[in-house]
Amino acid sequence: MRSNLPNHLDPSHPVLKQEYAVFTPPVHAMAQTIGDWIDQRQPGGYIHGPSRFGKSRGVKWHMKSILEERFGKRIPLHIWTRPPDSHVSESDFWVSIGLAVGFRYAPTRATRGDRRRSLMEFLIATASACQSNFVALLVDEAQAMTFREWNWLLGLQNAMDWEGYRISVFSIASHQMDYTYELLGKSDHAHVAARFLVAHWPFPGISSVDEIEFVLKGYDAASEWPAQSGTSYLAHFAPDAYARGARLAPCAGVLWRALESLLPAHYKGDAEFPMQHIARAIEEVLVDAARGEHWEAATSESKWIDALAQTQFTDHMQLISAAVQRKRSAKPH
Amino acid sequence: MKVDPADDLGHHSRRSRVIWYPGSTPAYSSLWITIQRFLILNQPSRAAFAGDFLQDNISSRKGPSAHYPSSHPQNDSQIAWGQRTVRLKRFARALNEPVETFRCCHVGQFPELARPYFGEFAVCPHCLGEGFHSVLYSFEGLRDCPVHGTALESPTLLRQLSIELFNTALRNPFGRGQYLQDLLGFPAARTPIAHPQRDLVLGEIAYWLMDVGARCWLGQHGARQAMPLDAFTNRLAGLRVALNLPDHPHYRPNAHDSLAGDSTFQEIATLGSVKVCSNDLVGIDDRRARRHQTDLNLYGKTIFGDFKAIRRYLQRNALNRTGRYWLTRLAQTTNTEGVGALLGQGGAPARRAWLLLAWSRLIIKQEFNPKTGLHTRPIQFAVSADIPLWIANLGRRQLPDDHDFVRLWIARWISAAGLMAFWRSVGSIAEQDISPDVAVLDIALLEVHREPLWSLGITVSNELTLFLDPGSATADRK
Repeated sequence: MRSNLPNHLDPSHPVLKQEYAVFTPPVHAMAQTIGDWIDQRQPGGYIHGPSRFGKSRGVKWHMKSILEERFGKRIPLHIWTRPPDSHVSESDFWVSIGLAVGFRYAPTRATRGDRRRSLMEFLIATASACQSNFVALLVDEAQAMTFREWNWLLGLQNAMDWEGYRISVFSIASHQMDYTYELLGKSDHAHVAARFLVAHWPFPGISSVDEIEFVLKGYDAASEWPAQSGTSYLAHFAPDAYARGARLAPCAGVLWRALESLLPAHYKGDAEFPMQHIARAIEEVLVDAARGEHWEAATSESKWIDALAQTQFTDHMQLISAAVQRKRSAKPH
Repeated sequence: MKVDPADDLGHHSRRSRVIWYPGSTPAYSSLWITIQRFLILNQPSRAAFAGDFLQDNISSRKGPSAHYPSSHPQNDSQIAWGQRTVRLKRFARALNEPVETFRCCHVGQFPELARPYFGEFAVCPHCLGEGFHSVLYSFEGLRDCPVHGTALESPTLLRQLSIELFNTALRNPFGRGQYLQDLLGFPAARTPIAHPQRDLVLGEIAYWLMDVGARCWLGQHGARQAMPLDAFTNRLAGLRVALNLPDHPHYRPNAHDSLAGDSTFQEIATLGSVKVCSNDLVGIDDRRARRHQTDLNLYGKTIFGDFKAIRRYLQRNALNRTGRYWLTRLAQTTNTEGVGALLGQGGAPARRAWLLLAWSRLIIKQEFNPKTGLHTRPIQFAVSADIPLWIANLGRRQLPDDHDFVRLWIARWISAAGLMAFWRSVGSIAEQDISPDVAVLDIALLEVHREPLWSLGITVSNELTLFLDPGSATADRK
């Protein structure tokens, strides 16, 4: 909710509601990786990266369409965002997944065996609807998955295998997953790690000026609201400047410099930036432009720095730096 | 950039989904087996299933339990056996199956005349194991499974199956029976095994039964017991010969097909059936026949109801959406200039709509005039004195709602056939390229009003039959 918005802005615009997703090169790379795993019929795999890099949004908004484009047909892909308490009971675990995949009778009173059976039937039905014997389950927020949950999923995978259907479980998680693999391997759950966590891929942040420019071009041209209107986000927020030919893409270098300048002192990680902070900064610039601020002033380096600073960008990078340092020191020499 | 996540992503879908395999329901599957497959695959609670797919019992909407359908065992049995308590359209939509999948899925969908010939709940144990059951297995004329050749089993004729199956099916058709689940297994519940030969056999039986109700077969009224199936079949065969009907009826779901002119005998609409007790056949000179009075008011109301039904049907089927739009506008126009302008704008769809309007107005003006209407014309039964005259409800105490339904039935058929024949002639005008100058169609264009050729015949067993030939019109009048 923003105050004092100019009249020409529609409050239901997705940028103001923050209900949109920017297609970024890392999202594309993640989709390609998952597509490769599906091609290889990997039983599982995990994608890890710092939070706020855009993994979940990429999965939620783009994954299915990219994969369907790649495979040229419908893909039985289900996404489950793991709730914090799903490990409490097996029944609740199946109900949670059943609700996530859209099964009508997931919350119906039943035994845990019946619930697992129903979920399995549902997954089989979705596979059959796509003329396939394969289903993919994407588990978001998988960093907190417990051994019990992994074992339940293992049971489901085995049961489906018995019926002639394959399910791959791809996990999306933040940094902790780095250690879960080793933890599972060193405990009595190596079989779980071997099944679900062997294939892995680190999700990168925005890591170059070119990628920033790609993102900004999304606001300039590769976006549209309302649908079929031909009006890009920038054109909606700053119609006059847009008509004069002003675009965000030329600001890529400036924004990159602003990002680098706000990195904490002694930052240990690579120059990879979280997409969420970049998006919030762009939204701020768009709103300022909409309020009538001169285009050059609204997109000056100081403005970008101010906008990024409002998102607590430096604090967040400090956390990432600490996690990177911890990870490096944990690795054996 | 996306502003709306793909709604086919599981947890963002606005529509929850059920487990089903569209297209997996074999032809002539009973509603019972389809529901059982659904219950096995989805495992809903009874209340959840009832809330989704069963109609509320209106008569019991008095207390707190009014939100739930009646769970009385007898009602459930009736539901399985033909009461329309399952929301079939909603069920079909949830399963992503066409509604036609559920044709012939319970006894209630068959004509009343044929229902006495459905016996006990019967199943073929082998078909059941393959995920199939048909309500036609209860038809008296079918004793063995057309595919497996095994005798059909029922509660009183058990061989391989347990009585538990029948008890559960009859007492609790919407409950998941463990016995059936064990028998079917999940693979059969997902996709039953199809047998084209079975479809062929059951299709013939279903057509035959539907055909029985699609025509007016005489002489069943007052029967305390249904006549034996063999006798019934022979009787139908005799009537079919007498009426010169084809052996295999053709169903015409496309309305436009039925509107096309055809010189052979055809039915235009099924207007119900009349059954007459043989005691109502009296001699033409019988004093009871002379005493009989006809209630013209009832005739007028009934035939007018038929006319409105036919008009609604034509509006929906003979006109497309554009045509209906012009029909509304034309109906609101009160002057000829306005009509002319609309016809000029609307082209062919408007002309067709105008013809339908003109047809409708002419019918109302001429046919429902109390002095000259069809229902007031005397219908003469041209039969000899040697053959009994057939008039219903004679020789009994006169009751307020006691009417000559036979005569009314004949009048309804002739009226309906005449209206449709008239529309066909009007429709052919619409197909011609009429000059736009003839914007306001003169009523003279509609002068040719044809009544169907009709006659009453009688079989050697004194059964009165009605012939209609709407295609070969003879009676032209203004």
